[in-house]
Amino acid sequence: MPADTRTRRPLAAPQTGRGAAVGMAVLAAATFHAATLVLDAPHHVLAFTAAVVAAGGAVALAAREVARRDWLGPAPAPRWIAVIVGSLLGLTVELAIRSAVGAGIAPEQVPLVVFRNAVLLLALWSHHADARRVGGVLAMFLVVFSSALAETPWILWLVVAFAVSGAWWLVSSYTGSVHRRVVAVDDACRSRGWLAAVPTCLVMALAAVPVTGHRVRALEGFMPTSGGQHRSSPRATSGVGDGDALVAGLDNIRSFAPIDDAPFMTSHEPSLYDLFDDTYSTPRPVRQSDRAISLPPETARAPERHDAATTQKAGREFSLARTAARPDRSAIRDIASPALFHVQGRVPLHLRLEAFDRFDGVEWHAEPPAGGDMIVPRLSIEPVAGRPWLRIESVVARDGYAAPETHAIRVVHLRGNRIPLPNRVTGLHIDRLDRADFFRWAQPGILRLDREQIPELLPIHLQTRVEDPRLRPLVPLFARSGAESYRQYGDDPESAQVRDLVLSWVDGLPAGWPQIERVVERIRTLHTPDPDYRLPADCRHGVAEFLLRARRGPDHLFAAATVWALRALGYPARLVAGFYVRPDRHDRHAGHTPVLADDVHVWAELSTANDHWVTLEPTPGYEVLLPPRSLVERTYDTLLAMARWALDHPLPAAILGAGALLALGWRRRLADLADDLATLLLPLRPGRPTVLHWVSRLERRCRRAGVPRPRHLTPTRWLGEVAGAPVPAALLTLVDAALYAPPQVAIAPAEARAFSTLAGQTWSWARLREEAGRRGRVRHRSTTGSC
Amino acid sequence: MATAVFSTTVTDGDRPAIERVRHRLEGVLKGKPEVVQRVLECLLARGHVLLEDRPGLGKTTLAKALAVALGGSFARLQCTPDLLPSDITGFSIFDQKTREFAFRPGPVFSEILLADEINRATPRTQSALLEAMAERQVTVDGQRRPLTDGFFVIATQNPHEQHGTYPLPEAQLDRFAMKLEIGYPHREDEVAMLAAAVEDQRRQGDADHPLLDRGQLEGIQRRVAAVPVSGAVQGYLVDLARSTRSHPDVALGASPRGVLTWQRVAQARAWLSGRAFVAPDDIQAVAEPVLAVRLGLDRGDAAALVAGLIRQVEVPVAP
Repeated sequence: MPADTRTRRPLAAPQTGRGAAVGMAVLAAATFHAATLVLDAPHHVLAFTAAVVAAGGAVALAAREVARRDWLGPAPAPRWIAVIVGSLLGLTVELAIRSAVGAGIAPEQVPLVVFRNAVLLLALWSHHADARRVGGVLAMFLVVFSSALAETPWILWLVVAFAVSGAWWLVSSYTGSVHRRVVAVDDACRSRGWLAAVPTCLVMALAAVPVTGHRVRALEGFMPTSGGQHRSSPRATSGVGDGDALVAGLDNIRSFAPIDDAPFMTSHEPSLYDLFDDTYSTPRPVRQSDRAISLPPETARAPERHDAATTQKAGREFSLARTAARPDRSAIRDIASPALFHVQGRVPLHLRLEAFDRFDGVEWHAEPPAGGDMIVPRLSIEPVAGRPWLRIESVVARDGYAAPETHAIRVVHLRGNRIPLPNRVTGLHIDRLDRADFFRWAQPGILRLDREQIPELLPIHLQTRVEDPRLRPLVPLFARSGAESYRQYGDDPESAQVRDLVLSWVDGLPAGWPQIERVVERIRTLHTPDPDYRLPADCRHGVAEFLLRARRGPDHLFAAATVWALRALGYPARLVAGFYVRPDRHDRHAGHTPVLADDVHVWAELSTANDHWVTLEPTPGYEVLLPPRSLVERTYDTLLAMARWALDHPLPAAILGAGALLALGWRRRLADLADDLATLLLPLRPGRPTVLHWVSRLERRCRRAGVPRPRHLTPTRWLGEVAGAPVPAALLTLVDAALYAPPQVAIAPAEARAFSTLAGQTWSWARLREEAGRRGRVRHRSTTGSC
Repeated sequence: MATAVFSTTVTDGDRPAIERVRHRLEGVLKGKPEVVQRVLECLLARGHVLLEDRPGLGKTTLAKALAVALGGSFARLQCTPDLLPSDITGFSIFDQKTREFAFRPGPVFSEILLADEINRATPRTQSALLEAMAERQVTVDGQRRPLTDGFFVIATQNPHEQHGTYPLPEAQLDRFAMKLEIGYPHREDEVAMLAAAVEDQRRQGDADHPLLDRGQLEGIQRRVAAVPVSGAVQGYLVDLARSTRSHPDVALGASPRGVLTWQRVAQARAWLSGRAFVAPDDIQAVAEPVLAVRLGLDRGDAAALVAGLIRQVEVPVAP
């Protein structure tokens, strides 16, 4: 073939790299979200992948539509304004959320949100070369910084996919550039600067990490972080040392949440009783002569059995009588993370550590360890998905408890061998611990490890079930054997007074749950929580003092009063001490809740059939975890709340309702007015874009006015039909020209202006509504056959 | 109201001449402006017309008037079963004087050919028209003989006669741009026709002068072929054509050659409408006659079927 023939041979169509640009944008956004979300289960990753694929498809379709319509036209200025405004929208929303509800994302994520928005918006205009180039650079930034913040290793797959897309984009850009230079246009050289910026920034960013040896320091000064920078943010998800209760960092191992691969360490930590003392102050020395309650012989002997238990504190009593002095907790502020342990899963949660059954008026005595006549579930190891799970009991449907859910706990500072467990744990998993004899029942419902200490930072995974109040009619009460200690009640005058009071509360109520709920409700509503209240020094019966005279006190008085009141009615109950996992400490981003020393708590538990316990929370401000609410229930709750608000605020509700009804009735007209406003405010480019804008607008107006264009008719023909009067042919020809004429057929700006003026008059809202009415009448006549 | 002259309209200097042709044809064929419009579209698109109607409705009159208006030669071919291909194309005869064969051109060498009752000719004879209509040439005795550039065929066939007819094969039908029916005129038009006949006798000869010369028509045809069609409209045209191929009532859908013809006719309609581009309305407007000749449907069936096809395909609303 001659050389000149070869040079004239047409090249293949240039590869613009639009697909690669869209792919890069989606992958960069996915990398950002993967770095900020907690994806620790296969189904999380699967759902995330599905979401990424769906989002990618949506972006690709949107980009195609924008390209097809050439939205905002070929001029770069409107495009860039839209990108900048859209990108900063994320910042505005974040600031609004922070100021309105106090929530928000981590500070280092805020600029990344702006980057993400910019990348996705630029992908929509990826048919323009400048948008592709800038979008590629920003996507590269987003991936680099997101992957630097990420902790999950599988994010590397996203980075690899992004690299492949980037390579595809570079190759496409190169071939496109060659094509332009060889065939016709010589403007391809402008991309060189951008293309050089990409690898330069990438190399600089990546080089910073190995040089400093620390990811956070590599970003120091560029991205705001919390902790480690001597600044703290409640929304922080990274940082070291001096962050808030739950901060992930590399310097202090305690700052990690429950994860299985964290290293172990040892330290001297407080026990539960130390925390009782810290929280409620130390017990007053009990004068034996003060004890006036005569206990039955079996009750009096019970504490002797307690001494045989392996305990962390000799005596193991919980006294209601405490000294007035509060401990100085200044030392706690000095430690890196004040959390005693972390909990992953839904909160609030009551975690048991100690149960008390016998009460002498001032002190509660701990239950004996499980065994003997106490019925406790048999423990066995059962492999689940290749991991050893301690099967505590099998799940039985409709036994008053909701479907199983999972929680995880990692003890950081708490000393002892008892595992903080919520009520009704059906399974427990500790990695590589596959022997059931490693676990022992410390007390009914309370497990301990058969060793002196729970290894620090040991992740404990739990399968738990939550009591469902709606299923309470299904739960049999009091069929339990061997629970006499839970019914122990005093025969002293104070106890008699308490019994009379409680009987007055439940007067007329049938036995069972109505009485129990009434007792809890009365204690909760008639008494005031006062953490600083202490019983008088000469108090002989703490519960009687609380219920009959003080009517205020800390949570252990509420709990003790509840137990004693239930026992007065003959219901078996016990006092439980442990921790309350507060929902207001929940870190929504990390999915963890730190438990601090302040969270030590005492509550009541009611014994039901089959050796189950029901958590009763009498202290105001504390709640019991309820089963997850379904969408229908939440919708119902929302509607109910709205109805209540409307009843409470009739005038604003009536105004709002009337406004909503009017808006609903006039929604089409309002939308059309909004279109009018947008037309006034939007700068329209002269010529064909103006006519196209008006055609699109008239299409919407026809649809809203009730005369939608049939899909097989052209706008020209339809507008001519619905105008209600003869329309100048020139006007319709201009519509045709805007829609169907090739680019070389120009529409003069003066023509477009004339069209704008006439179109609004010719196809006014009133005229189209009139036409819709006329057509409706014609249809009605044709269907009814009337003249 | 807008009085500006929009730049999207065609300002062709030959449009008045075409309008004069239209006026003359409408004067000849009273009350049938839509038929005249179709014939003009075919003429400007360099297509051929198949008229399917009863005798005496003005087919020959229309063809003759068109030939006169265009200033070209006119030939009428009455097709019968014994008509031979050479009767159409012409033949060579031995000249005793020159001792050589001399070619005597047939009626296809005229500019307007009226092939009356074309379906009465045998398939062999019909096929002789194939080359002439498609390529505007005939081959006689192995020698290629070009026809005039403005060669235009108006063929007629009688739909009610079944005996002794030979239905046109699909390949032959595909050479026609349109199939039209003239139909009986309205009463008022018929009265006007009678009055015009008397008037014409008085002013005999007035309507015999041509309104276009050959160069003018060829120029218009070239400009019509260059009327722009946007990609969206072409996509719409192809979608419509493809929908005929999958329709259960259509044995043979529109061919690519038919699509090309369809576009040309739509261009002609756009030009006649004074537009500098083709719109989907042009495609829709000419769909029925263009498809009727290709899909082998009666006129009534074609109208319903084409209307259904048009309803199925969404028109583009973007450039």
